[in-house]
Amino acid sequence: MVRTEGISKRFVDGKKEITAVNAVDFLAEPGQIHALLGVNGAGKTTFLRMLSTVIQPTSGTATLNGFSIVDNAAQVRQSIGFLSTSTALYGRLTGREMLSYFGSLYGFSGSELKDRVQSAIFQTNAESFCDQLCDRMSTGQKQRISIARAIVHEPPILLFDEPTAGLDILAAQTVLEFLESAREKNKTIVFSTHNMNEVERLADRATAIHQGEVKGTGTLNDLRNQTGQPTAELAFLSLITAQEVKR
Amino acid sequence: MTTGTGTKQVFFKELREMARDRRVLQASIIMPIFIIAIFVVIMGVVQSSVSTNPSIEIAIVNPNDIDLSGALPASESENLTQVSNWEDGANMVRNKDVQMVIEVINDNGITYRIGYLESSQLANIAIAKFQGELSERNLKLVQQTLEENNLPDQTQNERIERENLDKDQGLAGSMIVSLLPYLIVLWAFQGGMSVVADLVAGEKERGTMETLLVSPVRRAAVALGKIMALMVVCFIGSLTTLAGVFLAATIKIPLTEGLFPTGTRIELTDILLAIVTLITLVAFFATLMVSITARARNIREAQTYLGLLTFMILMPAVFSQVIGFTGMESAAWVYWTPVLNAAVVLKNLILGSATFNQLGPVWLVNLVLAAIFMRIAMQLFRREEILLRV
Repeated sequence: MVRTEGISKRFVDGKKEITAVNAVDFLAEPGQIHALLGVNGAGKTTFLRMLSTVIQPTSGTATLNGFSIVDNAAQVRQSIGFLSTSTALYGRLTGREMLSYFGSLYGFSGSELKDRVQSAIFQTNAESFCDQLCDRMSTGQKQRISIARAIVHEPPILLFDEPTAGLDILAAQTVLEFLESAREKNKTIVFSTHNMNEVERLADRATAIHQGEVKGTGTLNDLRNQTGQPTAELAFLSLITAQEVKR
Repeated sequence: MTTGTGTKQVFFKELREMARDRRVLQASIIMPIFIIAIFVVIMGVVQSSVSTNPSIEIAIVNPNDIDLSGALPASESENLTQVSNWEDGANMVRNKDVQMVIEVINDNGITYRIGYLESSQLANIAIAKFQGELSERNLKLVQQTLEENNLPDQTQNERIERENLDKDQGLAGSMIVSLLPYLIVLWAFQGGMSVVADLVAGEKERGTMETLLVSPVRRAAVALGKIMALMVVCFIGSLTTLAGVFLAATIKIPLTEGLFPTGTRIELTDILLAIVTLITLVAFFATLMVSITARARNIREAQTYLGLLTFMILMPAVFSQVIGFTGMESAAWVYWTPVLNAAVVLKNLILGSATFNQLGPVWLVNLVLAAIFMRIAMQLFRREEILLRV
């Protein structure tokens, strides 16, 4: 489970203070895919970075799998699989070496590490190319290795930041299928996206963020009903446009 | 998970990546050997040229007024050009057709008026030799006069005997000894420079820093693992330079026969002390480079910082080559000055003359600086800017 209460992040840029995320309340539960919707610069990545403990919230609290991101950061990191916007691989390592490296960072060694790596490769259908150098892989292959890297320690929570950005339709399909299979395994999944087709297909719940603030949250039906719009895309546009009108 | 285990994983992963990086192979292994081979050949040519009489062209005004045989550095007649007046000779010097012009003025004794360019090293050598040979000839004339008048010859009462007190280490007789420490220090830095931009700034640029920091390994362990891997590359770079010189001496590259007249033997103790010195030096370099480049947004910015840093490292290293001419080589401050101290003490180790009074400050300075920059690097890794400043 992922729960945040009034979580905020402010950055200081020279003399100017920028609020990237403002008092966000959020809940994602096991066995659900929770989509984080927002335009570029809405605060999605900052929100996910706070959940992954790489940056600290300015105020508010968040717990993942029961652990506080501030007080139990190490346990939180053990509990999450994080996928950043870029494929983020080491080009001069093979896929298998990359997975072994990250597995060892999570404290695995010997036959247990090998088993974890093999399992991650199997789950992402990466057997045929996992012994190639990452630099020589196609974008889709890289993304599969990235996903395998995120799940090598079998975390109960997956935080994916725009996992299909820049991927072709086939590679994106692999990612979406993986998310569906992870839901079946009762994982808690939070993924950010711009793509409303993906939201329609995958999301059990969605939260619309705009200018760092939550503009609406619930099931897709809830959002459609709340805005009176027939599709998730129009519902999302309505939520963020209303905010523009208010201002 | 402890800090130590994370460090080991990061260290070995970085080494594996570096071993597959052509830049490391080129900058730390191939280029030092290649450049050292060229350098040794050039030094060999220079040494052989200096040890033989350089060809000096001289213009002479009024050559028939006095017998110059034995007094001129260039005895071959083809190197002497007769000119009718001083101004013609001076113009030849200015045009660099000859190195000097000599006018013999026979007026109540003989005066040799010499015209030359102060900026010409060859002319300065020629004048020094001319003065020396003229003194020798005058001495012979005095001795001859004394003998003819049956007077006692006391001109030989004062003699000079030269004795080399350098420790009997092979490289002591080689010109290369003054430049080798500079090259070792330079390549310790240069070897690391080839990869350090990739270590932190490169990870930011590729996005791998974020995935690394999401893992449970402590950030201090990440920084330490990277610094240790960089130390290995720096160390290999400096050792390859040293190995290149010994290789050049062993395989006897053409034109370098005179460069190692007494071999390349160095005491095992001195080699071990040099290795300890290098380890402290590369610890300083690696921590410095990581702490500087960790501030960079991307590889290009990191390389800009490194360019400026290179200049600061080079200055004391270059000074180490000429410090022998200043008389400051034994001054205490030299051994407390970063980079300069390492180059000087490495030279002393090669010559077998280093003492622990010199080594102690060098090791202390390097380790203290390494500790300071290590702390700075670790603090940078703990800050959000390590991720966000991209």
